[in-house]
Amino acid sequence: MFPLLLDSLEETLFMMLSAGLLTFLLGLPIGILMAATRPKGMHPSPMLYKAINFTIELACSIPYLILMIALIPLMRHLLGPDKGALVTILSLSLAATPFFVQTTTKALLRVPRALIEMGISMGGKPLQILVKILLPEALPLIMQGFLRTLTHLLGFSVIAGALGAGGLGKLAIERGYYQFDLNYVVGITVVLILMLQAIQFCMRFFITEDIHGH
Amino acid sequence: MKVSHSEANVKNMAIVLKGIEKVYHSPRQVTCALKNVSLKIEEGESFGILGSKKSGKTTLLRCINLVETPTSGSLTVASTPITGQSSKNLDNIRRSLSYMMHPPLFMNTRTLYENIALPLEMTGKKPMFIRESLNSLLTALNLQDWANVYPYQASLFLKQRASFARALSTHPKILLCDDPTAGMDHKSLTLFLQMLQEMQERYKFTLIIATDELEVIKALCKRMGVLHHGQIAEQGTVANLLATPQSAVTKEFIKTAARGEMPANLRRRLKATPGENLYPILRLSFLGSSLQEPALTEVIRNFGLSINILQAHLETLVNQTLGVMVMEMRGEHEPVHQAIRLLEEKGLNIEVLGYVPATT
Repeated sequence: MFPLLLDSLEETLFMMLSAGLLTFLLGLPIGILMAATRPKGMHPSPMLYKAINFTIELACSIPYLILMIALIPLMRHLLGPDKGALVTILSLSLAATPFFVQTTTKALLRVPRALIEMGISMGGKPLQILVKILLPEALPLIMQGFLRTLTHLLGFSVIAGALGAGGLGKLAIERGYYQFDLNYVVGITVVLILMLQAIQFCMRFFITEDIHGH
Repeated sequence: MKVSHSEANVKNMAIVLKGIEKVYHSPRQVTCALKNVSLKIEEGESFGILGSKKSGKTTLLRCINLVETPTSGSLTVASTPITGQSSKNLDNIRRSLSYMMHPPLFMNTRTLYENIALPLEMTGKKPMFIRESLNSLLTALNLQDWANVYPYQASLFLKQRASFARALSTHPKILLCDDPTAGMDHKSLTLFLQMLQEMQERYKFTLIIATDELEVIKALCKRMGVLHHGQIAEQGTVANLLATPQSAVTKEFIKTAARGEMPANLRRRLKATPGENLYPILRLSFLGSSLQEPALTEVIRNFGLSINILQAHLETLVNQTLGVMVMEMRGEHEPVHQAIRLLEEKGLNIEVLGYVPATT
């Protein structure tokens, strides 16, 4: 049982982490764009903001299972049938990005407006203000949001496994559900709990100082 | 000839405001924060803006600091007219201005030193250069031992000094201070005012200080403007405004400050309105040399009054002295009234602080 469990864990970890990386790279710019284009942001652009906001909210309101059911065949069709891992990772990150965008935007909005004005009055350019003031000040909250996104991704990747991708989800369906091997059910559950605990543990590093005193 | 003369005048002005108005539109109401504000502030001078809370001090400073755009009126900062400047030029002008916010605001993810270095970082200076150029400033403001503390670990006075250092780090031509002494205890206040004066001597910046504390302006500024409900009630030299205030706001500020100087037992007995058996408490003030004749003795003799001097001192202003006397004037209602009028005619400024019952 253990070799099998370890192999599946490795697959799940790989899916989760690479999808996480992709989500971060995709979600951070969109989050920044949303914070900047909102009505009281640095570069208000109501049309763009509304368009992004609508898409994000729409994506967030679709249940994840249904989103995955829709995304996996779509990706398979777009990328070809032989790229199973890539299809899963892309689908996972597309499903997780809206959530991460929302937490990132919220984190950026928590930075006091007066700090941004301070940057402007120092003669800072928008990019300088973003890199030197906004992102560093919002980073703890952005990282908290990212770790929460990772926990979501863990759940998604298990669901993806059940839908045909590899990893713990596949193992749980094959051994736990069809063969009803209680050992696997317990083993997989324990592994998942441990992984969530590990993420929670990491989160603590970012919560120790709630830096804006809220 | 005439043209070049006026040009020379403009060059000496650090800030010129002409008919500045600022109106805020919110869905519920329209608020007029500044109304027809005109000021001229010379290069290198210290100018005080006296105003209570919500008088528009902060909005005025923010307009000068170019983070707020006036609704109408013209603005010249650092000898440059502001309207019609490109954003690149505006950034350059902003770099010659520094603004000390109240309460001092810091990035909590940076240490005090890193916060102080931020404006120089924004101008693209190298860390080594920044460290060297900040060294003497940190020492002068007694910050060298506290540089690596995070803002949330720092006391208010330490934060205010750090905020001051950050404002000076770029060697600004103009320093705007918004209520810098609010919440400071007496010792910190004295130290801070001293630091402000030393730094102004060293860096030769134009200082504009907005506050509701008359004492701060008296200690630092030669000229001031009194702001009330977004309008300049009056402006002029501090000495003249204190000796002969014209507007009700200025009188109120002087009165409040004077009450603070009165003995506590007197202040407790003080009544706001005149009445039977009540004698007025007067505050007389005069500029150093304006009182030529023995006016007081004359008046007492002629009207058959008796006076009881409760307090008398000379206030030292920047380049001026102001004589201040607080006294109780005993006598019949009518002669007292006439006496006050006569003294006013002789150039004394008289403020009735209140009335006290006659003591036996």
